[in-house]
Amino acid sequence: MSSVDEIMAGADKPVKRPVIKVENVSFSYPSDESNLVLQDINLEVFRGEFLALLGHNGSGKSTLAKLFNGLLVPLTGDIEIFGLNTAYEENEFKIRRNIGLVFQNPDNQMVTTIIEDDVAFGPENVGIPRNEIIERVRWALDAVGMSAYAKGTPTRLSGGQKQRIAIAGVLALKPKVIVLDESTAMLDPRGRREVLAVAKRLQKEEGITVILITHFMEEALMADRVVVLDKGKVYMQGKPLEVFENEEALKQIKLGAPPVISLKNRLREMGASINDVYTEGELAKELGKLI
Amino acid sequence: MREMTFGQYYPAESVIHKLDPRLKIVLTLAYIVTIFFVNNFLAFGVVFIFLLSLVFLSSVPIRMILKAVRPIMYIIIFTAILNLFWGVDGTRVWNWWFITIYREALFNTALLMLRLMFLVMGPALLTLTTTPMDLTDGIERLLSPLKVVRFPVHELALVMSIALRFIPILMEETDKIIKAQKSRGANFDSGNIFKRAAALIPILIPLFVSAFRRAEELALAMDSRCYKGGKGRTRMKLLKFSLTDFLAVLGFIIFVLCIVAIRVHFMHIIPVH
Amino acid sequence: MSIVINNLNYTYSPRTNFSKVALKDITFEIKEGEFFGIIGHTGSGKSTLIQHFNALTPVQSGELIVAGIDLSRPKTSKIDFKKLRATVGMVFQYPEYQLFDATVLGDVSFGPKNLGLEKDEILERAKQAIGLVGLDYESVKDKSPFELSGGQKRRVAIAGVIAMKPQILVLDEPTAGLDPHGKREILDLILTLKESVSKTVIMISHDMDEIARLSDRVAVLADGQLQYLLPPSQLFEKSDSLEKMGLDIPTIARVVKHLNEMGKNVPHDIFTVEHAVEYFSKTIKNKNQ
Repeated sequence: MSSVDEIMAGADKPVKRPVIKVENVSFSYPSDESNLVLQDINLEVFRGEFLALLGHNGSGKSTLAKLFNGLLVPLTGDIEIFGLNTAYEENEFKIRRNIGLVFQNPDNQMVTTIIEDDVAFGPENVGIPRNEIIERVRWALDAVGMSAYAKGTPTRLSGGQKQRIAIAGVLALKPKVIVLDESTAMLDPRGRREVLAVAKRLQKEEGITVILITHFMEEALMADRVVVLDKGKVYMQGKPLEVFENEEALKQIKLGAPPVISLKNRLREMGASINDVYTEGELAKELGKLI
Repeated sequence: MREMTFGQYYPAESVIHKLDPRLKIVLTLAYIVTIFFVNNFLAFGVVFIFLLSLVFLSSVPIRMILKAVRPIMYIIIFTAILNLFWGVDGTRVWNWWFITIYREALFNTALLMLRLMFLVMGPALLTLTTTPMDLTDGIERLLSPLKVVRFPVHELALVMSIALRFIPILMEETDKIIKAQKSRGANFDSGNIFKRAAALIPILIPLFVSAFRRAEELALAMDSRCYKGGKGRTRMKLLKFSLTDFLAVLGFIIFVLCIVAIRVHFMHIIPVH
Repeated sequence: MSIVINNLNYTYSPRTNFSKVALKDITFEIKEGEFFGIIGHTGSGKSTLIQHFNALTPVQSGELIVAGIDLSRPKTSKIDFKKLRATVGMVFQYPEYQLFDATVLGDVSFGPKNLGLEKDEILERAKQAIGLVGLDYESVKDKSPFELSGGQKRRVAIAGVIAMKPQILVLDEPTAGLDPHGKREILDLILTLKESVSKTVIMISHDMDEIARLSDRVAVLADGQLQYLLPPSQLFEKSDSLEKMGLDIPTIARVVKHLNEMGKNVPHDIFTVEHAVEYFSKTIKNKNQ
């Protein structure tokens, strides 16, 4: 039994075990060693959760994503994925098979001109037998709602569709965790909605742990937990509403709360009694009672 | 520009389209060799009929095949003219001042033009009926025995595949950069050759920067998807010989036999060489 | 310095199998001094439309007069391109991807140089433009634009357009890919530029929130057609049909829409948090009294 399976087997036990454990991690790029991009980060990601990682460009959130799957290795401290340390080269492929990374630019992640061939790239790399690859490609494209495009080329797809193909490409490796590294940043609102819906479905229906790295505050509302990074440090963390409740603290690092929460917060400050809300509809209901 | 795709694949559902790409590549090479054995008009007649029936079977419009000849038309005409005045011996058919044209040269020139045209049309049919991806696949598998001598077959095929993927993206990007620099008053259409070459810098540099950035990101994405070279890789696509492939081989053999027979038996009909 | 558009049509690859209608009978006018917003989802024709303003896309049919320059004449060779491009400045999507020179100063000077200005004038304009976009001239002028941060690169690219002193500034998704703070900074910058250099500003965005916040009037494009041309205060009366076009209406406008559906009478011109706080706090107070 590999350690991956062990953790998965232990999942139904009451004790929550982290799939990702970041311990006292600091990091700097070799080109600029004096500049610590990450400073003494401690973080745990639990199985099956939807975690949003918020922060400005340069807060270190994308660097953290690359540390998760061993594309980068910590300067000091340790990162363990299912108990496997990312610093050891022999763990590299075990880790990468289980942590899928989807990047920002939908055009720069595809290696072939035929969509299904591209989705097959990952499983081909790790030597999955042919019949199973076919099975996985079909499943992955279905999971992102792109089966109809299997034989087509990506050239004429929208950004959101291309990004869903990129997710399928990662999914075909059957990872336990998917990291969306600013995967919605370059998309239009429709594309963003598509990608987020896919991410949520994967978490709910396939039990995949999702880490959503973004600078769109409202996207974090769909997460179970939010971690805010600033200047390479964990600045805040908690349930989305807990974090956004403290709008002042967010403003200090030039972030803010999503409009719904912000409106609620400010009316509350003025003495209005409004219950906690997530969506426009819920806020409208609360306001409807008051006016 | 956005609508342009690399290569010139003509999508259709024909027997020719469905042939195994490896077979098509090999047969195209064999066809090229065969064309060099053709040296009289009767044989070219056979080639013509053979090619015409293939085009008919492929449901590619004839004008698409002819289009392939257009870019090299100048080369054909230039070579033909050179060849026409080269023949120094034989029956004079035309004479003016110091220019003399001989009958043999005339025949030779006509054969040369036909040869060049048919040489281009065969491979054109291959690229029109095979997707660039299938071509890459076919080449990779045909070259795979070379892996034994450590020739990087898989890497070569991957490079081709990535090139095919990124050429339309980079073309679109070029279009965008040109527009942006034009709107900053750049002028690409006037001035001498040096000025025009210098005017390309504001296009080429952003394009290179972008290509490198894309390459870097792609490398990260490939790494993340467990890419570690050709070793231990499996393949989803399986290439398999079908009945049509065997029929195609049979048809081609008959074609070659015809050409050989004509060369051996009917040489004397048209006096050449 | 207005832009007059009359029955403008455009088709990509006309007379081929993949011809695609990008613009259909577009007619409207952009007035001098206006902040004009254009919104529409990807493929609605908005980028094609604005590329006409600079003659980067030639007029196929219809009439187009930009700042008095008639672009609709059949003979495009008569257009004074230099004058046109000095009048209409165009900031493309991700403009930082067009930087090419070894130094920031060189890059920003590119436009003025192409206009054939005197050396002193070029330097003066570049200096001014770099300052206007909020960068410190002395410390960045000799730097390579490629070693700057993402936000700074975008500023340099905008400076390159501003150095041409365009009367009309056209921006295609100027905040794309930026984080919230970077977005605010660029939008503030655009407002500053409107005060100081370009009287007329035309901005394309996916983000209905920023378009509604800044624009005097908003044109809504879908499938190459002009659907609405309204001031933001009236735009969200059309929330339903905007959403049908696949456009995102601002979060607060959606809250207002929900309230109206519940039978409450809340004005549709509320679409920012600030405005909503003001309105609801007042209404709640009134009700309690």
